[in-house]
Amino acid sequence: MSHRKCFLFPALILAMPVAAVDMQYSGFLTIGAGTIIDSKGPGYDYEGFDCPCFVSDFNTAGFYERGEIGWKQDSRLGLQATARFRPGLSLTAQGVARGVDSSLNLEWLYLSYDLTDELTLQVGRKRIPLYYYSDFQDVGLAYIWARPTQALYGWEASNYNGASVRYATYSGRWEIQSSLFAGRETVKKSGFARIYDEVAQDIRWKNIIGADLEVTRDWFTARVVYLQSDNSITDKPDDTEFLSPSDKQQVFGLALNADFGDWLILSEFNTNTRESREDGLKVPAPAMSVGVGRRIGAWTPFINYARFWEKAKDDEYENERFIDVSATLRYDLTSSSAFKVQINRFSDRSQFEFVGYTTLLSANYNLVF
Amino acid sequence: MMKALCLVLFVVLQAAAYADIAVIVHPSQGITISQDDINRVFMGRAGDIAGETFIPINLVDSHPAKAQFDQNVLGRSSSQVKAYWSRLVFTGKGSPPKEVSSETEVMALVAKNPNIIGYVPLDLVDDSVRVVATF
Repeated sequence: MSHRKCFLFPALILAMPVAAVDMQYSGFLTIGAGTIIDSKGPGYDYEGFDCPCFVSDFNTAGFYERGEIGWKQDSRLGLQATARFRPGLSLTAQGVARGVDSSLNLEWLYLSYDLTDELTLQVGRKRIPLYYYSDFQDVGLAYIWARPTQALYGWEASNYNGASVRYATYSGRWEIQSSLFAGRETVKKSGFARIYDEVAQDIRWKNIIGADLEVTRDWFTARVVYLQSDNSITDKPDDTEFLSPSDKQQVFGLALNADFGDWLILSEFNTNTRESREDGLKVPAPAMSVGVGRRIGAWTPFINYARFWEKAKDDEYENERFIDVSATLRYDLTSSSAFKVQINRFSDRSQFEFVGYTTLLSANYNLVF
Repeated sequence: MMKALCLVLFVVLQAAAYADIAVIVHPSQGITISQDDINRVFMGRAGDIAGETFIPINLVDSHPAKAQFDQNVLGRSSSQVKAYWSRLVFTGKGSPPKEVSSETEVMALVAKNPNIIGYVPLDLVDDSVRVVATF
């Protein structure tokens, strides 16, 4: 699906008479700060970053470097407007301004149409629902951590232009949701690519096709997801075109959550595999995250273990591997605002000189309105 | 004058916080409604109860009966309910029930429309609505 086609529908809807349109506005805010309080070994330069350093967001190249108190990395403001033309037909736009860049990013712009009570078609620009927190990772109030672990939540593409169909129903006490989605995404001057290369590169995920299924019963939630795409990157400054042939990407994910009201256990197990169509190099990257916490009134202490572990068998390839252990304390100030303090111990076990060993202390204030 | 008014308001709100919560529908509605049904409708998981359309009406967060309803009926704190809705609202998967600021507004809406379901402190209920459950 081309970009032009995607945006034609919203344009048509905007041209409709506006008399009956019901507008809804909402938003979210996270103001955060963080600093590296401990690191191992002498300082060194890694691709222009002062390391040992901590990657807070692979997607936008959010880094905490040594000796600084950073506030841009985790701070963001999101504004959403929904125009409801009639029951079951709406247009939603969501813009997010991040501390890490100076522009307002249009993260969502989609037309939503309820085909039936249980089926919804959405067309436009959306977040890729890759892992459990992927499509709402900007909304800090909605989850426990200061930020979802980058062992799982760090990829080149977070959005796509395309279409999705979502099915939601219930059977007895089981709630069932499933979606199919397809589209593509091109990121100019990718933050993710910047982490591995000082020269800004563009990336592209083509032919994204995915499906997920989420079931909930009382305290139990399980979600499975599959996604495949054809990925490529530019090779600037030598070549501004996307490298061809593209790499084949396949992702399998499983999330298992247990929320007993007081105790809660959150876990995810995923494998992202990339295979080069040029030389056959296959890089499976299993990642997992397991955490447990307990709500005590407005307080929720939570501990988490996460691991990203590339397993390429090729002698030439240097695997990226790390362990991210965190302890979080969340305090609900009101029902729509929360304060969080988190310590991350990041152990870099990569086979190349990557970002090193660090301990990061961060705190943030989260609000939805 | 203002002080007295505030005091009266405070006492009323305090009293309301301790009263049972009554889930109410239009007097013409005869169907049986379970806690699961109420939960589903207020959490946006279903738009109907036993095949009949129901539109939930919520009280605003600042109303003491809201926290009581969230805890006693939905089984979650208001913070957890807000986190739940934040996920849905910002990912295009749902929008929370419409909110009104007072129980008199809830009573008036329910009394007028057979397809609205709401809740108010039990001691405020009169003949204009039917109580389907108390918590």
